[in-house]
Amino acid sequence: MAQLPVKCPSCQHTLEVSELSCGNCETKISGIYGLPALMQLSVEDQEFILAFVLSGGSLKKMATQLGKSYPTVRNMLDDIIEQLNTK
Amino acid sequence: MKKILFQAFNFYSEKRLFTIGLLGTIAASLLGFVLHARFDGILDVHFVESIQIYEPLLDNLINIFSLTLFLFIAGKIVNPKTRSIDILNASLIARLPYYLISLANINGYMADLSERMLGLATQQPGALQINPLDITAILIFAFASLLLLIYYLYLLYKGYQVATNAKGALPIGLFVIAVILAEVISKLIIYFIA
Repeated sequence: MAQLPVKCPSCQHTLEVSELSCGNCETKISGIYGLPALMQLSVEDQEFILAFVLSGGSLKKMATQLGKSYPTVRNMLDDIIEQLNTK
Repeated sequence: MKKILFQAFNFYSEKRLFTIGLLGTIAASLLGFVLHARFDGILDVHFVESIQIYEPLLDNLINIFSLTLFLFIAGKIVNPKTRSIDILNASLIARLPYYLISLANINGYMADLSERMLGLATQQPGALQINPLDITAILIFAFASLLLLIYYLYLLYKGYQVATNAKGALPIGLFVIAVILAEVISKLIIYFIA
C-alpha cells in the first residue's frame, strides 16, 4: 500500500485531509480535517510507537527486540514525545 | 566492528557493558602493576620505580568514581532521566583503550628513558644528547598517547551523550566542566589516599 504523505512536496507544510470516500458505496465527504498528531510523525517513528504498544510499553523488551541499548531506546521515545508536544 | 569501536553504548545492554568494563579494568590494573604504571588522575599515566599490587586498581577505582560522580551530576542537569549505571558504564568502557599506554613500559623501557633524560637534563643541561632511537620512541609514544587520549574522551562523550540524550551546547559545556573537576578531584584523592 502507498505511504500516506504528511508533508506538502512543494512547501513542506503539514498536509490536511480534504476528502474522504467510502470504498463500498462511493460516498464522498469533503472538508478540511487535520491529520492526527501520530500520523504526522515519520514512518519510522510510527513503527516505533506501534512496537512500543505491542511490547506492552516495556522499553527493556523494546531494547532487546531492536538490538539496541536501553538508553538509546528511551532517547528515541523521548524524541518522539518532544515532537508530539510541538504538534 | 564499527559498532564495537564507536557505537558500543547504542547497541549493548548495560549488563554486558558493565561486565566488560569491570573485567577490563581489573585486567588493566594487573597489567599496570606488572608494567609499573600508576593511573594517578583520570587523564594521567605515570611510570614508577616501585609499585604495590593494589595501587593501580585503587587509582582506577578512584578515577572511575570521580568521573561517574561528576558526569552523573552533569547528566542529571541535562536530563533528569539519566541513570547512574549508564554513566558508570561510560566511565568504565571509555577508559579501557587508555590503559594500553602502560604497554609503553614493557621491560621498564619508558621509565628508564624518562629517567635517563631527566638525569641528562639536570646534570649536564648543556650537553643534552639523545639517541635518535630514543627520540623516535618518544615521538611514537607521544603520538600513540594522544590518539588513545582522544579516543578515550570520544568514547566518554558518546557514553554520556547516549545516557543523557545530550543535544546542543549546554551538555558539551557541562561535560567539559565535569571532566576537569573529575581530573582535579581524582588527583587530589589519589595524592592523599593512595
